[in-house]
Amino acid sequence: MLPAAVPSRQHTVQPMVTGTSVLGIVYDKGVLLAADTLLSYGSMAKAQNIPRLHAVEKTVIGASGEYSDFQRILEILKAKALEETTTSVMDSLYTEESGMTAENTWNYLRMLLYSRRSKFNPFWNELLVAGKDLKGKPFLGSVDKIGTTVRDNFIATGFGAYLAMPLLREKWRPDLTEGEARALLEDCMKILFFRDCRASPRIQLAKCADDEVLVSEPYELDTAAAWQAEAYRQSVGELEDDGGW
Amino acid sequence: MIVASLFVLYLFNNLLTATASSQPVELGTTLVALRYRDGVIVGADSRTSVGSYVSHRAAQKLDTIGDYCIMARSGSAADTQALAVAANQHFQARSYGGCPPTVSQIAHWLRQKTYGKDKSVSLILAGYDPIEKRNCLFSIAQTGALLAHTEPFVAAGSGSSLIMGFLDHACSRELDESEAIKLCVTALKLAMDRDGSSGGLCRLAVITSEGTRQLTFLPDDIETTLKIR
Repeated sequence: MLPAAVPSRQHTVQPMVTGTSVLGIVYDKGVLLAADTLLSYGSMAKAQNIPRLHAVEKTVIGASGEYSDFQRILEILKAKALEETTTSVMDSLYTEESGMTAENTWNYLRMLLYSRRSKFNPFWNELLVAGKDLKGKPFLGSVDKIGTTVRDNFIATGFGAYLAMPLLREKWRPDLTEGEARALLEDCMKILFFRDCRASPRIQLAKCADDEVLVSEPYELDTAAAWQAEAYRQSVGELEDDGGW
Repeated sequence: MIVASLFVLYLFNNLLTATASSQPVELGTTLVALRYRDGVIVGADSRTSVGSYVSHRAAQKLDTIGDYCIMARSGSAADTQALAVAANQHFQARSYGGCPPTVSQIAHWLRQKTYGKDKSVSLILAGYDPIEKRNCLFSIAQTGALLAHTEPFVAAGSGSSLIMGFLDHACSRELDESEAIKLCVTALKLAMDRDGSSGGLCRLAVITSEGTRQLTFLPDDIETTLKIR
């Protein structure tokens, strides 16, 4: 009698500790990313001050989805960056002088995520990559858990794809200033807080412009103004017809 | 091995293709009711969700049944709305004889409507009994179990488990009205901070021997009442 077969490899296919949307927009001088700082454990808000935007060299990566997979991806990218600093130009992995740009990183992540998906063990993330492309122009691209890549002037992951993208499409112009881009992203993040169960009003911004990469500290959005409409504040029985279910 | 990877494929596929039609409209919810010196306070958040989407961010989960009873709803929005309409119609008709219903009668009637039925309903009934002249707190759980509460507070809904410890600690002595309102809003705010299915405004109702008053608060702004009626 042969012993019963046991699966030789176990794969986790359920995300447990997750982050929600990340938004990105290209403006006249660079790229701006925004994400809230909430980590959810199912429907529970597990941790409320967790940065989901990280800078690696001259690139900023933002992740939605499983947080442990994001940490592993950052580990891999940091190891690659370290490798670059200790390798001579002749042995470098990158043929261009620009070295490890955002576009290179984006392509590398595509290979990483696609190969894991092909083994039925995906990195359960949707990543935004921001920085410069190989020609030195502002770059914003996304990679999802099955290895799909998109490069565009504005991208949103998770719920943002449904709620924020229409606003970004409406308002984007090639000559947006940093202030306008920031106001647009903050407006989108407010709407996501109201309409996404897994979002919070505590957000973080990241900027890649000229040669600087800045990741802001988390701060709270002011959401009180959106509750001032009389219809929201009235109690039952005062609204016509149904009483305001 | 093939069976294991087919199963994994099946899980993977299901997680990628969940659609809105497979997710009911739920009152995710936190409901809190407290006794205080002069009566009872009931509070609820204002979030209605369809999966992870907030379909109504200013929902009204407190319904008046008669002059002295408030029904706080959680569970399926459709099932609980139907119950509220049915209860209002039934008890309005009954009160034409000059005998207003007591909270206990309303609670028992609602239990008959929920026990054994395939409905997702979890309610708190809070009010003042004008005949026996005392405050009442009842709850009806998902399975239809009716509980009459003698303790100072009740909480229900998905956010309630997150604040049970807080309420146990905070309800150790009798409160006056403004303390009770502050406590109710604080409990709701704590639950809304941690429960993804609860959020929005805090809607409160205060029930005393004089009748019912309704208030609305922003969770961060207890000092400024948005509306008093």
